Amino acid sequence: MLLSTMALLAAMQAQGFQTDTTFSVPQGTRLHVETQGGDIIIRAWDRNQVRVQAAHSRRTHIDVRIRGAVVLLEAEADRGPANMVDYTITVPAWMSLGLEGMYTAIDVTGVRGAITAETLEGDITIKGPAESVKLESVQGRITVQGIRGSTTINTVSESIEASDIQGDILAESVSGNIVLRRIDSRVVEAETVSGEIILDGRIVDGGRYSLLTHSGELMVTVPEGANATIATATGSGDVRASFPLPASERPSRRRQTFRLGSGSATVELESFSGSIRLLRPAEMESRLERMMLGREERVKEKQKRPEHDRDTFDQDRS
Amino acid sequence: MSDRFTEQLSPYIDGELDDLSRARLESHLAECLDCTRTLAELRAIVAAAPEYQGREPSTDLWPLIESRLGEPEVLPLNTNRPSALPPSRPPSLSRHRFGWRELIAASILMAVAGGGSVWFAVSRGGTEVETAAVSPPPPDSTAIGSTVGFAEQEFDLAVRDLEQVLDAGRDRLDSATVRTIEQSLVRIDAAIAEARAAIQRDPSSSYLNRQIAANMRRKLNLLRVATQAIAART
Repeated sequence: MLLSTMALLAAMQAQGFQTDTTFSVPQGTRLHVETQGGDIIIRAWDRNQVRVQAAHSRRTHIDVRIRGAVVLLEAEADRGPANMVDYTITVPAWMSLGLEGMYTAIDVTGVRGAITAETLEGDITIKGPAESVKLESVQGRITVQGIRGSTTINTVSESIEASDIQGDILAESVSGNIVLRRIDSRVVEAETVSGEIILDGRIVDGGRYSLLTHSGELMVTVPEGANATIATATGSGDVRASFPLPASERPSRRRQTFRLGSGSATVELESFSGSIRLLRPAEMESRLERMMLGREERVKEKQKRPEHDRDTFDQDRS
Repeated sequence: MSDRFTEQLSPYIDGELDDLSRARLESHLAECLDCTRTLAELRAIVAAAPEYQGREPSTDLWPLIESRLGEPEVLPLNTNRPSALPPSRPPSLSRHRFGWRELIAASILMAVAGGGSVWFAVSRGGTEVETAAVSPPPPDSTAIGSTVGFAEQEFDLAVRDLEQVLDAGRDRLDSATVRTIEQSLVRIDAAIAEARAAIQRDPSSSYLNRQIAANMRRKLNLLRVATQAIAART
């Protein structure tokens, strides 16, 4: 393939030192964006074009490099890398994305291609029918919705919320909660050290579901008629179900195995010191609604507090 | 990414390539994003090197790791081999999981990679390399206990390496980020300690094995993410 490198120094607009440039891309092109700080907002359209709008300082320019099937966006300042750039990028819906930022919030809607995103500090939000996502953040809440394919999420201190997912899920956090809602996946693996894990959705025959936490609570929806072998393991926590469970196939209180229906799906639930809850869908829905309301109230409370109090607030909550 | 070109990145940084090789590599870099990124990472490591006082990594660990991975004593506790569960239970379909011993053995790989990178960085940066802390030679692979002890030692060394890089570069990260990382490491350490204490009372517990393995892996991953962020900020 004939490869070319093209550096486009996009025109500065009079208002706010904006970059605004549009270029055509062939089908199959991948977009890669790297930035130190600022937001990356990606929206999709039905044209085979990429439009890059960026707000940045006077000394910064945006380089658009095309290397084979990859379009690489990088901000450069007169002296070294640029610090703060806010991107709003419109891409073909089919496009695959690679997004990286240090102190960066990432928000993607409507993209069907594969998406990878990494931030050190900053939330990641992906909505739309991406064929797969791989997302990582140290200090950022990660929210995904409507992913068609495999979903891999890793964060350290913040929560993970995934909903309406069809592909395999692998979610991991250290202290954040992991909330998986309306899941229709054959494979779900979620692990956290001190957070809670909630799995709400279908248990697919032959599927496998593994939730592991050290000190958090596990809550799992078990729809009526599910065919699952549920293996639980706890240290000091307990196992409770809101519906009658069959007798455990293992005598141990710490490790129990319950067979529901044909038992074809494997559900492994392990918490060292947290408890395990098995709920029917309606009960889970009710709990989740209460939880969401509580979270909204906490966010409002946090917003009311002066800036310098917020860290303390967060520490108290952790 | 081409191995041939990858091998030339380090001499390229050091200005050791002849004109023809340099021109070919630069032509390749214009087309290959992976090599370009690898070059950037190498440069970041070189830039970070002067602040790190490291040690030379021990070598030839892979044969030991490989042999350990093949031993039934360290097979994952949750794979398709015959289970202690009743036969009515379907075999676990879970992805390949590691027992903590296996995890430690695997972590040696990371120690080599991490230590190797650091050693590379130090040597490229011209900092004097401390070679006193050389790991002991691998014991006989049939001596499971001593091998595990050896592996644990390597794991600890890998963690120490990464912690030193984190200490040296912490001022390059936002204080809130450093605080988050440190608090998370404390949580992970506490979880490992609790599970290790519990496994003394219940050595055959597969789920405690998983807890320990998962948290050790998590600790190394977190330290690696932190040190990579430091390199990226250089």
